[in-house]
Amino acid sequence: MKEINLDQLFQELNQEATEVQISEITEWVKNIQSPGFRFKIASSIVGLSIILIVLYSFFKLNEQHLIIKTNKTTSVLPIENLNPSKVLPPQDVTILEASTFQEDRAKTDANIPNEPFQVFSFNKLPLKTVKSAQSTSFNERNASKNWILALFNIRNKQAIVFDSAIPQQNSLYILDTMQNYRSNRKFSMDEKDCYLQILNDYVVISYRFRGSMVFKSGKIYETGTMKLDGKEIRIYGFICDNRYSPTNFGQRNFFGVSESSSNSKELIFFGTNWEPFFTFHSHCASENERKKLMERSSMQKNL
Amino acid sequence: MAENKKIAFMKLYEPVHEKFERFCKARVYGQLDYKDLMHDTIVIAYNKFETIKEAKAFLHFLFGVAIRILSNNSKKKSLDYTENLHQLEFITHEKTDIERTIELEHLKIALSRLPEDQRETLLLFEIVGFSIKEISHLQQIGESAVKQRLSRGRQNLVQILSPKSTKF
Repeated sequence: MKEINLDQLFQELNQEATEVQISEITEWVKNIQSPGFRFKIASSIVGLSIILIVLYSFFKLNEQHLIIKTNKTTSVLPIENLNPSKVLPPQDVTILEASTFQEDRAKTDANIPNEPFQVFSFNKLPLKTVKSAQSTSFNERNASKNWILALFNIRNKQAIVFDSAIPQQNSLYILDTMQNYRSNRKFSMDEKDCYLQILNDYVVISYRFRGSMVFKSGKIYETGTMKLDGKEIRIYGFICDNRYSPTNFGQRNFFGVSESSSNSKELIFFGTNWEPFFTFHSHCASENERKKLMERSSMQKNL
Repeated sequence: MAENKKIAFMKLYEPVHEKFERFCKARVYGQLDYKDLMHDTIVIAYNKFETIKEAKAFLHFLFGVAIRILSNNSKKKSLDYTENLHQLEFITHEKTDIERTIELEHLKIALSRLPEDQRETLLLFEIVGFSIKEISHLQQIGESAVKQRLSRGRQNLVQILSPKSTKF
């Protein structure tokens, strides 16, 4: 019987070749941004904002009328801080029978369904309370007139073109890896059946990462194209409903789909102020993968 | 100034890179991707680089950060890579002896079966080369506790690796 020689084994382990090259470590260190750098950026933005306010006030005072006019627009609601007492509990907010995206196009100029619901805060930005027949989407035309609203809900207007393209599609992407948008490191999903599906105007995303389950589903209410780092991508905005799960109910999400090769797609999720946050590297589901997901779905009746 | 900091950091890191990678690889084998641990440790170590008073303390500092990250993450659920031992088939080592490779993989699997404290202590002693006193300082336990962990760890390893063991 062969005796176990631990000392020899550890010695051999100490001679094992390393896989990570020093150049890779150098790259990691190169990409680290010190907290001080972010503070400088933030304080530059605040300083610039103050200068803009002062200049605007100066020019306004020099107009013929000395009283500064308030710029009232009817199609953009004033931003109000959400009062918890006004917010309905999820079970009282019903999702109406969803008419298709196409049918509702004629009813509003922002091309979204007329469903009365309240929009909850997302990343601590106060959002508008929506009443029926009014848009949840930020009206780009009015943003240019009311610069105060634009300042606190900044979007890069050069990069995004919202359109009325109806997502007539049935795409199923299997999520392979995830990475922070500005980092090179990829992280694998915990399971092989993590997916994002777009079915006409409805989105479902389900994945498990580092032991945590994430599930979001909702109707697409906004689509467009965006130029991101020189690449044109199609973007979708949806608000999480409570059809399958109450978690994330009311949360607003934006993501973009970009093709990296014929079968693989990058799904880029955005955070506040249209900053790309993280990317899923995915591939279009094969027939077998689609079949397995359908089987699982029919067993659970709720993905 | 940031460039100087990066150069100074890499100058101290390069000599300890191999030990650090081997420690991370063996420490989290079967739990998570060792590169994640390496990356997270390096980011934190770099951001706190100014707290190091002398170059000699860098090794302790780096491993201290890694140990703290692991103890913070110890409650999170992790994916068990060792469930499918047939994955050994997919290990490709172009230039090394196959038998030796398999032996080392068995050693890593056996290490992953040890209790965390014994595993960590053994790795700090055998791979990194810390003394008992240094390990006791890093893990904030007494020297006798370190010796006990080393002894029990070795005993358990021999048991797991022995040919009649059913623990695989």
